[in-house]
Amino acid sequence: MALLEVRDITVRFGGIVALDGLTFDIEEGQICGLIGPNGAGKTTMFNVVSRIYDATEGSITYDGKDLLGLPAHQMSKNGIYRTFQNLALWPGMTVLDNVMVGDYSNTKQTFFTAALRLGTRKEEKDLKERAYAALEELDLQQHAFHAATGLPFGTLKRIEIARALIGKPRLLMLDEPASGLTHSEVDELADTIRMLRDRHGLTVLLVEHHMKMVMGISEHIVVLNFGQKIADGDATEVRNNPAVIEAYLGGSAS
Amino acid sequence: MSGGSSSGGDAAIKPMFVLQEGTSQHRMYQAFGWLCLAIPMILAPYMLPSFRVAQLAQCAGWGVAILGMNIAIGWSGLLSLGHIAFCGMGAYTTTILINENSWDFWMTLPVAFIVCFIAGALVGLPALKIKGLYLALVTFALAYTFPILLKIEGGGIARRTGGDNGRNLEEKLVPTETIRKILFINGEGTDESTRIAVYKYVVAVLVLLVCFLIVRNILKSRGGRAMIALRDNQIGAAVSGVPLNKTKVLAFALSAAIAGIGGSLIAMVLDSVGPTVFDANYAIITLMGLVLAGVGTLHGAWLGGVFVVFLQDLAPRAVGLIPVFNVDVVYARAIYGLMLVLVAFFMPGGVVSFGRKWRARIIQVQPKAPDTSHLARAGTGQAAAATAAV
Amino acid sequence: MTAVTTKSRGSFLTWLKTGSGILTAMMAVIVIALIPAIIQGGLKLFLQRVFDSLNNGAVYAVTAIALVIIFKATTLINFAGANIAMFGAYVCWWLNTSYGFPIWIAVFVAMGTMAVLGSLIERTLIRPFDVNDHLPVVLITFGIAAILEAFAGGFWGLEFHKFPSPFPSDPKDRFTIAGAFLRYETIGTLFVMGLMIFGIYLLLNKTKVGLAFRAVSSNVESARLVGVRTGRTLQFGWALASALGVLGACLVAKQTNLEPAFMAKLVIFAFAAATLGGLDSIGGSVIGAFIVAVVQSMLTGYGQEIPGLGWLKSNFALVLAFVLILVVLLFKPAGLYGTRRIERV
Ligand SMILES: Nc1ncnc2c1ncn2[C@@H]1O[C@H](COP(=O)(O)OP(=O)(O)OP(=O)(O)O)[C@@H](O)[C@H]1O
Ligand SMILES: [Mg+2]
Repeated sequence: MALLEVRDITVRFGGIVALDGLTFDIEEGQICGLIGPNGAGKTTMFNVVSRIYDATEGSITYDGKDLLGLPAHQMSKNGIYRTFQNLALWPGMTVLDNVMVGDYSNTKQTFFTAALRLGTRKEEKDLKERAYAALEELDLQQHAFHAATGLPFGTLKRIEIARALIGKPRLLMLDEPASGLTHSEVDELADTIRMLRDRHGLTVLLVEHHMKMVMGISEHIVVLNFGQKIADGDATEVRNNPAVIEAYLGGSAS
Repeated sequence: MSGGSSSGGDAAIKPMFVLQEGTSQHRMYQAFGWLCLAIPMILAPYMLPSFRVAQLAQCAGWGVAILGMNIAIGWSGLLSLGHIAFCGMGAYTTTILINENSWDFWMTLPVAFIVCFIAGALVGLPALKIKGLYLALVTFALAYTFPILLKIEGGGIARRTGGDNGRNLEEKLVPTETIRKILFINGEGTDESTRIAVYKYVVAVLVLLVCFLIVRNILKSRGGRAMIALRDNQIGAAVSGVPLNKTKVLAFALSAAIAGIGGSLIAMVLDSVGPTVFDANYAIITLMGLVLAGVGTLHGAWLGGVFVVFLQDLAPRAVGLIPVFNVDVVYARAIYGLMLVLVAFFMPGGVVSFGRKWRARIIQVQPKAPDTSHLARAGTGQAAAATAAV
Repeated sequence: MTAVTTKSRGSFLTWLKTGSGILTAMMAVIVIALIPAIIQGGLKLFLQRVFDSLNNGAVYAVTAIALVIIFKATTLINFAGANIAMFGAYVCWWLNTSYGFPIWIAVFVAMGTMAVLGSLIERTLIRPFDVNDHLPVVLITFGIAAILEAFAGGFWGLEFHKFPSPFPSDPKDRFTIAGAFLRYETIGTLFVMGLMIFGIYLLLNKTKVGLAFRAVSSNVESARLVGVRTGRTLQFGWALASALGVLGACLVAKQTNLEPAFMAKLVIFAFAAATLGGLDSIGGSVIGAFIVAVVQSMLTGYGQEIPGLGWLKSNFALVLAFVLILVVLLFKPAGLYGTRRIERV
């Protein structure tokens, strides 16, 4: 059984059909690439899985459970974490605090226990250490006490990965993690993603315009165009698919 | 919303001193900071004339109120202009319990807390759906309506609240023999009004301190970070597992409850309550106190209380200094207005952030990196933990 | 948070749970509760109350339009609007009583003055800020309100002043319809309001600056890209709104008398009207204004006879305005005629 089963997902915004009967599977432990020209509906797909957008039709099963019945904040409890195309960090906190919030679902303190410090100190200390370790893992520790703003875009995107990582994800969704990186940095990122997958046993859903990277690290690629799936398979299959070539040359090439 | 914390690592400015967190110098520096605050606070009641002490007690009361407002406005990003109504609720709860039910002042505080917590949750529920400026609009309407609700004649409301005239506290807070001894105000030279003023001051400052610590603890916890997260980016917060609705309602209720405690203190210090202390006008004055002192900063709260009280004292005098305007006290309002505008332009983070910026040029504390050596790194340990947790 | 997706229409019960349903139900409850009192009071009294409300309705409409114009231009709720209008009314009164300006000339001069002030405020105090950062702009508008209130009180005193009526206002200047009095003043106010709405319609739909304004209010960025001078247009919006506010204030000042807070006391109704109609809909806010005014007049008139609500007495109107704002924002944030905004991620 696949970890994530997407079935006939359709999303409409008024007249726009952002996703049109999308169906695909992601196997546990895979790195799955989701590609397509601008406006194809990739981010919309992420937003449906993280329950930010309601699907007009269709169903998503995650680990055998119906996903669409749960509220957005319960995704993380189920091990679904993501990063954002345009960042969703909190500039009012330090990078370390940002990462600490990432583990919200697995910590126990409440307003009440925190107010009176009823046995919350150990958890705080532990959380802080793990957050710092997550930053170290992505080589970000030098920014730990900096406010989460004003750093290079690529750095901020990696901070988002650290924030997702601390929550012990099972499915990690990355929305264009390589945007704003130089060529050598892209290669490095590819290695990092593969390393994280192996080390933490992740399943990765990757949206990326950087073809070389996606083709290089994805075991499975789904291609979208105008909200519809036009191809589904491994890198070679997808690369040689005429519909894909058509979409990328005929549509808004990127 | 102006994100408050501009923490270390500002490479542009080279401070004169850099302290390592956790070192003895750092601890001394911290102690020095606290002493700078504590010594004047402890000495003030014995050095100043009693009406000043009473004013300082008021400052503490408004400080608690502003601390409450700050939770909603500063840290949760819920732009509420209606917290003055919660303040009023706290004040009236205390007054009515003391007058009608002969309660002790101390006993009324938890009740005021609970009443305002519930009221805050009730107002907070709609605040879930009403965002940004719309929330400012509704809450401003609430501030506007609250004094009118006090005057409603049915249901015994106006009788209990005293309507237009407000009410005096029938049982004033008077220090007992023991308390007088503890506070060194039992001597021959101290008259009764000074004793009362000092005692009220001590009570108000103690309550402020407790509220301050509670809020500080919350801010440095999961819930506090969640509040800031939903202020700065709600989607990011939801995806990280922060339950938006629950957190917002809790934050709003808590902020209302603390504002209510502030109201109770104000009633206790003034020995009276009235609709003109908790109206839209004061909603703006307290807002000004908050932003002038520092939105989203902890120390901004008590400092805001100081501004609320002393600006009302100073603004008319400042106006008097300008020869053109010498007659009209009404121009004092113009000073508030001018301050609101100036703060928005030049000190969006208020006095506290401004002070921090300057302090950063002199002294900076280098945070200590947590020790992660015992956490299983690079491999199986963490990976195993990950799979186990799923 | 969850984005809006199209759903099929359901039964009456599902409709009742929508924003429109809740609003309609609320209105229906009020009307039904009032019916016995209205029947008991007779037609004459009822008509009189309707006539009485028209004046207020027109004033709320004008004030609400001023709010809406600023909201359309900058998505900003202008908490200073009431006091800009109040100050203009003082200017008008001052020109009229101290310098002998004919009342209508004084009104126009005051409108012009405050239009200039409004555009200056936009240019110097509002434009430097990002309107999506709400706290600073709220502070600024409250600051302006406080300054204007202080100066009005300082220049002209805190006492009440009688405001000259711009219309024939002798007690005898009225029609009698079915025993109820319809005053010339009311008709005049309605007429001026109608004229003004027509004027705004022409201005926004038939002129270049109007086109620019509509472009800016639908999307600032795109407007800038196609070459609209957005700054100027925003300034125009503030000028227009300030002038309209002054007109509204001058129309109502005869009944309320002048004092520094006289518009601030009314503005909550204008807020209610604008919210009900839709904060970005001019036509909607006019309709909202009359609904608010009529309901206000009915409730203050008959409300005491509604079982269980007698205790609210004359405060009914304000409480109603508050409840209305709350209910509309809760259940139908776009109001009756406003456009829904969809959030993007
Ligand atoms: N909240 C929304 N409201 C209306 N339309 C939307 C919304 N979100 C997305 N869309 C539309 O849905 C379509 C798909 O958008 P989406 O952001 O998913 O594309 P994408 O594949 O992520 O593109 P890109 O590569 O540019 O990020 C686009 O036409 C977009 O305009
Ligand atoms: Mg995208």
